[in-house]
Amino acid sequence: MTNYALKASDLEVVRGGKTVLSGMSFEVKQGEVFALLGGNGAGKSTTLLTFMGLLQPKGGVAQVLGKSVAEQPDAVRNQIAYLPESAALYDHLTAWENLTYFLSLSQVQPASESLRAALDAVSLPIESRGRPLKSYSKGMRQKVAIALALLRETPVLLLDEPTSGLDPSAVEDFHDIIERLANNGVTVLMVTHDLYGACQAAHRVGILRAGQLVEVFEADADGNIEISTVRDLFLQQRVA
Amino acid sequence: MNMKYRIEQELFFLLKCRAVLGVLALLLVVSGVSVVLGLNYVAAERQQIAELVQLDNEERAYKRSLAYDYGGAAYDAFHAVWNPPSELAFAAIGQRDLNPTMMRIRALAIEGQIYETDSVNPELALAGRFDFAFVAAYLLPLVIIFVFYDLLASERESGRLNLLSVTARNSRILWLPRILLRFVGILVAILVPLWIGIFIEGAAFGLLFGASFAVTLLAVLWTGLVLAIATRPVLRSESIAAISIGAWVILTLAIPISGKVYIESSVSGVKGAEVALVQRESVNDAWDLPKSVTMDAFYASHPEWADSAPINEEFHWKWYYAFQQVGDESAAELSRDYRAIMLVRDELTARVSFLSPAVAIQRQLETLARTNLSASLEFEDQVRSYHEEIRRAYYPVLFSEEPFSSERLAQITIPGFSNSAQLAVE
Amino acid sequence: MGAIILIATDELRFWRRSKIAWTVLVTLLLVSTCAALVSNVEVSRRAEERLAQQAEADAIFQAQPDRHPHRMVHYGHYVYRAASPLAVIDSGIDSMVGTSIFLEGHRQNSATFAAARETGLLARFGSFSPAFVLQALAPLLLIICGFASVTREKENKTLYQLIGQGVSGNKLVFGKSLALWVVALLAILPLLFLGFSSTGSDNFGFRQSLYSMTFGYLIYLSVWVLLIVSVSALLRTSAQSLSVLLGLWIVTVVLMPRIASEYASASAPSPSQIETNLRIAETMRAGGDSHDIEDNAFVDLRSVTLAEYNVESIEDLPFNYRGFVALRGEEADTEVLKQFAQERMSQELRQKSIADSFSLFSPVVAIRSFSMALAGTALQDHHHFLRAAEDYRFNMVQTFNRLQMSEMTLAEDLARNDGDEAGRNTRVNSSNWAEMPVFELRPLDHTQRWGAASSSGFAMGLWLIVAFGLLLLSSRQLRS
Repeated sequence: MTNYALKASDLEVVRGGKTVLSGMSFEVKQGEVFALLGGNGAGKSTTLLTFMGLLQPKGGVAQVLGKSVAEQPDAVRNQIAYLPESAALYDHLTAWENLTYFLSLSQVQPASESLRAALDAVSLPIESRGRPLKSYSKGMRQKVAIALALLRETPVLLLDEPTSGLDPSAVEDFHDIIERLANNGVTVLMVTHDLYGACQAAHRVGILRAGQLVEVFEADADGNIEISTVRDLFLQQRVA
Repeated sequence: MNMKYRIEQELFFLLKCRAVLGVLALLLVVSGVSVVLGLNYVAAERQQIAELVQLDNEERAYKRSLAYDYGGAAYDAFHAVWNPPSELAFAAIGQRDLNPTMMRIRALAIEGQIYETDSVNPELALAGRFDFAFVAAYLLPLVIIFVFYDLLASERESGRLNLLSVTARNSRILWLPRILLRFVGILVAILVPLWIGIFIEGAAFGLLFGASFAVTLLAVLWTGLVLAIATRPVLRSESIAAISIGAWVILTLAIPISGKVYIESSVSGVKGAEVALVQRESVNDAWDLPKSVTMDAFYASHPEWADSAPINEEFHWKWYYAFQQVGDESAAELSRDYRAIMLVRDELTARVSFLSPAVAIQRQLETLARTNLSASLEFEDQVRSYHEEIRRAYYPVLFSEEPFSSERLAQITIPGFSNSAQLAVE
Repeated sequence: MGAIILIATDELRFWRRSKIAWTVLVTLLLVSTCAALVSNVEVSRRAEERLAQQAEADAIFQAQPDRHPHRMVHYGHYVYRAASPLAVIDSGIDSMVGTSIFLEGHRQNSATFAAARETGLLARFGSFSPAFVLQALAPLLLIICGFASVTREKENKTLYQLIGQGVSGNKLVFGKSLALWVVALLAILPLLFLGFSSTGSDNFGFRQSLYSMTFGYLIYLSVWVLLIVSVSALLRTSAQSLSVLLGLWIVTVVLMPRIASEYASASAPSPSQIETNLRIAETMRAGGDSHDIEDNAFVDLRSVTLAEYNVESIEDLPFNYRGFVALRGEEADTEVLKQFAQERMSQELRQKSIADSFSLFSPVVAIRSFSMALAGTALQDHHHFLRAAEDYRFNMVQTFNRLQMSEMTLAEDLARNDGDEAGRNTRVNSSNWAEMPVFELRPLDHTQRWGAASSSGFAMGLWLIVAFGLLLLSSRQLRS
């Protein structure tokens, strides 16, 4: 059965001589939001980079829509959009220019209506759209980066600490967008150390510790995850 | 979806990078200034040559009008020779300011005349010329370093690299247009002034192509080198800059200077001053030697005059010119050695140019512009054969001892000096 | 003061642990020591070569047989330019000018056969002398050491901690400058050692010049130290600081000297040698041909001389009148030659002073000129050699002319071509050649060298003030 959108089997990744991931396995179904929760150095970013094809696993396989990332990196990159932690875009370009430039990299020539629609979807104020990103707040930059991810219309979305440094209302907006995407069949993998955000947005939450997945919590029928249980485990392993 | 759109976007992106644009504009200006200075230099040289030719003709005609014997007429008759700048000389003035480019010669010993250079202000000469070859050899690599050193590091250090890599279908689509456009920008900035200069000078397409090709090759080499350093994932942008500048110092300063020290200390031999000294000694000694010694030596190399009447007087012009000729012959071997040594040094310089692209580009441009050593030696050959022509023109009247008549003198015509290269005077 | 030293030691400690700083330091010491050694060998080789050549020329000259004195006037003599002892530090224009001059009557030859032509293409790439290392490479290495001295603190946010702990902006930049200055001192040391050993026994004040020169380099490198720390304090990131400083280095070290000379030669062009030679020939023609006593130009001289000695004809004069005409003719010729030579030298000095005025745009132009002048390898030293050679030439020629006047009668001289016996009568004993004093160039003394260097020294003083002002300005910017 390979109807999983993302699949890690027995992943082992070594960075700078240190084993960061060892024997990690998980699957994410299509349209599912999966959050990996972990402390600093647990291997969260490494997992994402491996799925993006920017790190080569020493052992095991990372698969996106049935294709091995290591074997077909170009094909896989067409299927994934990525939202970096610090929403690193070009400061000297406007939102509009950033979107067109980045899309040209994936060889997409967007119509202005779709650009406008994407910026509307992330509710970026109209008066800011023509200004260079220098003048943007962190939340606004994040919105531009999300708009980019939306415009790429990829079936898989990878998020790196998506809500860190955002104010509560921006976090709320963000979760709405994720939910909408998931309802449209987009598969989302997010890594975060934001316990509450993860529990709120994800269908399943995995706890990552020292490069291994130690526990996975699944949402109940109402779509809720028992935060306290997750927190207990999370804190317990931090102390350890 | 095609590459054209991608390149359009990249061009737009480049136009928004003010630092890169600034450096390119600077290169354009500096290259333009070097071309203007070069054009002025060659224009001034041509002007000087034109004036020289004019003055030379007047002066010779005047001197001839005063002549009362053939020997004296030949003694006073200076003939201008010159090495006009080529159509590409403006781009690589090279050693032209230190080499003989124009002089006036007469039927006396050539070794005493041929090394006469125009006097340059040594302190100004020390700094070196600000010509296109300098811009290509020194500044082009620095501009390349500036434009490319943080190509990758700036994206990584600002956290954009991952997003860029994931968004681009592959790294070629991301980097190739970016590198290519910047590279083309650099080439355009440095070459356009050169092309304008070449157009003004009316140089052949081959020269334009040759010079542009050499500069492009240099740019490819340096871009490759800088990118090889800049794509090392462990280096921070400052380290990349420092290492690249270090490479520049080694390739454009340290290697040429070490090469120079090596060449100067390992190739020693005949100095120009020695050639002149030997020739002078020979000419001076002749005054005290029995005339037959000089004349026998002369007739040995010029048997066609061997039956000329013996000399009884204390002074005779034909004896005078004979010992000038013998003086040249006595220094001929040294003179050849002197040339040979310069050629050996040049050969070693060619080897240094394999280690230093700065030396290589200067050599290449000087070769194209005919401002190199071989062009200078070729000019020397032309002067020598012209000098021979002058001598041959006077020998018949001297050695057949015809009585002096201004009509006969007027029949002695020596065509003006002509170069293989065209002299264009505006 | 304590805080300044603390910051300086902290910076030095950082360098001790950084690979780049070590590389820079080792390179700097290695390069300047190598330059000192290579230069020492090179310069002493050249000096010996010239001494040998001069000795050979003197020997050949003295070995000339008995001759008519005027033949010796045309035979002439070679003089060689001895190298200054401080050429080991800065060889200046040494390779751009000829090392020897041929001296003869009626003519002033130029110093031909510059080494630069014989070396070829590579001559213009600079020389591996301590001066080049200090002027061009040391600033570059200081930049690589110091560009991040303050920006690093900003990027690591340690700057606010320092300021928070009460370290003032001034103390911070002074401390950083002090640390960088220690490196600059290290670079200068080999120069001092080398200069000290090569100026062991001289009495032309080269030791003093060495001290002034060292002081000049100290100021020059201090200017760079202050500029580097100021730029680092003014800008936000290390990358910006590095770009600006490298740009500054390229403009001041690589571009400015060339721009200065191009500008100088374009704004005060010198006439070509041929043109000058034609003008000289024309002027001298008016003075007459001193080989020919019947030349119209000497009619006055003849009547004045006859009247002075109260005799009827030149045969009755107590000396050989031909020699006398030669003597007076040479005087007149030399007058003309000197005038043209003076014109040429003033023109060259004018060009030099135009080029030197670029000192205001680049401290490198200032130190180049300053260092050459004190090393005794500048334009004025070359002119000094040319003048000395000209004086020697004049004395030599006049000595021969006087011999012609006193050692033979006019009748003998006029009959010199009438057979062997008559020729022998006009020959002068060869012992006279050996009596000619040999050419010895007395170099300019320290005061003269200092005088030539002072305006560049002044320019460097201005640079120091400007750099210091910039440092204070940048430290003020740190506080806010």
